[in-house]
Amino acid sequence: MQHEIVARPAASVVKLNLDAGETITCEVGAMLAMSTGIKVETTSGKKGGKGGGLMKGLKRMFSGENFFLNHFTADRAGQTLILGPQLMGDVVHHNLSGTLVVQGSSWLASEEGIEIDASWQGFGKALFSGESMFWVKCSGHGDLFLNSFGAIYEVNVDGGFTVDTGHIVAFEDTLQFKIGKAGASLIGSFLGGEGLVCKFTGQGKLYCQSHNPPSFGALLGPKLKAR
Amino acid sequence: MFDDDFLDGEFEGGVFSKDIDGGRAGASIRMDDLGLIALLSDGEQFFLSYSECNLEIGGASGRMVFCRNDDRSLTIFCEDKKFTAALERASGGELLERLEEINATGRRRSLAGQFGFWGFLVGCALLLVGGWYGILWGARAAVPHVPFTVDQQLGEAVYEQALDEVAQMTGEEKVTLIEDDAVRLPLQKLVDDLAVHSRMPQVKFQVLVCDTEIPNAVALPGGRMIVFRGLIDLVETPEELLAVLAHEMSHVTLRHHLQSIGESIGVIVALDILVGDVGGLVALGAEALRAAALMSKSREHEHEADLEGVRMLHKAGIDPAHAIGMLESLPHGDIPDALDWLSSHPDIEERVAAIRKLVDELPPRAYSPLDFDLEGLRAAMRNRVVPAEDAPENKDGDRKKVNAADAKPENEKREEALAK
Repeated sequence: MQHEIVARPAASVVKLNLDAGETITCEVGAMLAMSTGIKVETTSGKKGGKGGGLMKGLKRMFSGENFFLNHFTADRAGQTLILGPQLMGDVVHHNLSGTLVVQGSSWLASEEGIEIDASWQGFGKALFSGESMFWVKCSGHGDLFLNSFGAIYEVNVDGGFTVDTGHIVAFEDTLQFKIGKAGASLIGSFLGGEGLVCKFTGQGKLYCQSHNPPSFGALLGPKLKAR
Repeated sequence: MFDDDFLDGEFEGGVFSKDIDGGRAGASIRMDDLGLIALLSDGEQFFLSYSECNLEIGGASGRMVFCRNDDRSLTIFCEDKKFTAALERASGGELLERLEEINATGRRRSLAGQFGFWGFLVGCALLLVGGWYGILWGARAAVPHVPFTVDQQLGEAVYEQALDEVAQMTGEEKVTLIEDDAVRLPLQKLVDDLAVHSRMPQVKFQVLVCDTEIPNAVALPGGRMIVFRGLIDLVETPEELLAVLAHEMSHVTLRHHLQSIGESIGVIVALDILVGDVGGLVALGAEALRAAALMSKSREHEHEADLEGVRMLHKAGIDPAHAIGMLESLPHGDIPDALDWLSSHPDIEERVAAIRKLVDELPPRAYSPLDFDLEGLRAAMRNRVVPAEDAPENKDGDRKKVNAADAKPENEKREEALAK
């Protein structure tokens, strides 16, 4: 499977070139265009309806993803599939080898064989991280595509790193984060406009997004005319 | 070379090393007497001796164990639950102290997690209960500040729907209102005389009588009341009829309809804050508001209306014990559908006890019988004039004014004659 991410970073889409028999699993509604030699199958679990789809589908819903997954399989070589996120923003490729924890709605697509599940992030993080209560947990080996609101930047953490709440896209499972205040004092943190932040520790790759939808919505909402 | 010395099998994990493309790779981890061996899928191996192994715990789950050398150039990690026990055995006590710390940290985190879980559940329960009572209190506190004209406008808005609801109860296409003054005016006078003893004597009640067998009475916000023919047929004394009317009038003067709407709005606002976009729920809520305006009777509202009705009867010089008699005469246990007006009410025994307690506490006074001709009202209902449009067709296919008895179908008249 070959890929090319185009129109970065504001309106990114990923263009995939599939060989015969190759399958890519993606979120519902991500397909923008495709060649005629691609079959689509919709399940709540693995391709072919194998293995525990119902519970995983429900868990995915809690993480902000759809209950169903779409599996695109090329019938013959040289098939093109174009996938894009719903929000304006970036798409990034990650070569998965292990487990990546992805914030709800940032998982776009993954190669067949990668397990897409949801995991509970804990009460404190659920309330204060600015993300969904559940995270999407991608495990296995292969190509994985993530999307963001705004641009994505990658950070190789070794020790510690701090990210504002709502700006996490994904992180490797070797990283741990805790919610904390941005400054030394709680009042100072809020007066400085940063409030709570996510403090990462450990070693691993972290993907962050330049913007976050709730802040954008809060800014835009009051300017919209009431319907 | 390690095959004979491997202990406790293999564990799924990974390696961080600058020698790996991308810096990280998944690996199968094994242990021998000297250290950890990480085997990558491409066959490359990494070795970390126990003597230079620094242990850390972390990762997204908080349970991942990292084994690093001093300059952090090589890290072998694993999340398997059996990994620390295997490492403890394989390292021959070399890492025992640090592993015990890790295990203790794990136990503390597990305990903290359980406390957090139950604390969160209890907190949510308290928040829900507190929120609910806050909404109820808020709705009650706000209603006195809303002008009564709002109740009247609301009553006007739901009037047609109320008639449709009554028609649905009886399975008829359209409810028939008895507009004969001989029926309506005595009831109107009964209500007007009692209204002066209500807590809102300025409210003008309007009595409507519907030709429905179900024993029921409905009060709409603003003061319109629909009395069902079945109720007039059911009661044994005029005082029992007045007790039911007093109860319904109390719903109006206590402004229960507006309180119910306030509670519904409060719930929708609370849901909107908690859940976010509740567009669909708001649409449902709008419908719920109409239903609340018509029918909603919480247990608390029923108790209040019972007690207010008793106070009104007492003030009017009518023995409030008739309210008890009316309730006790109803069948206990399952309330039939026909007595729908009571089905949403609290347990009858509970209501009777509350009314009896209030009656005992009221200052003693002499009660007089109600001067009302119940039999005359029933006769007026039987002999009322049915408007031409509601009368049955004659053999020529025409309709003309008849009295109610004649308007009945032949089979009903025959059954009545047989019963007599």
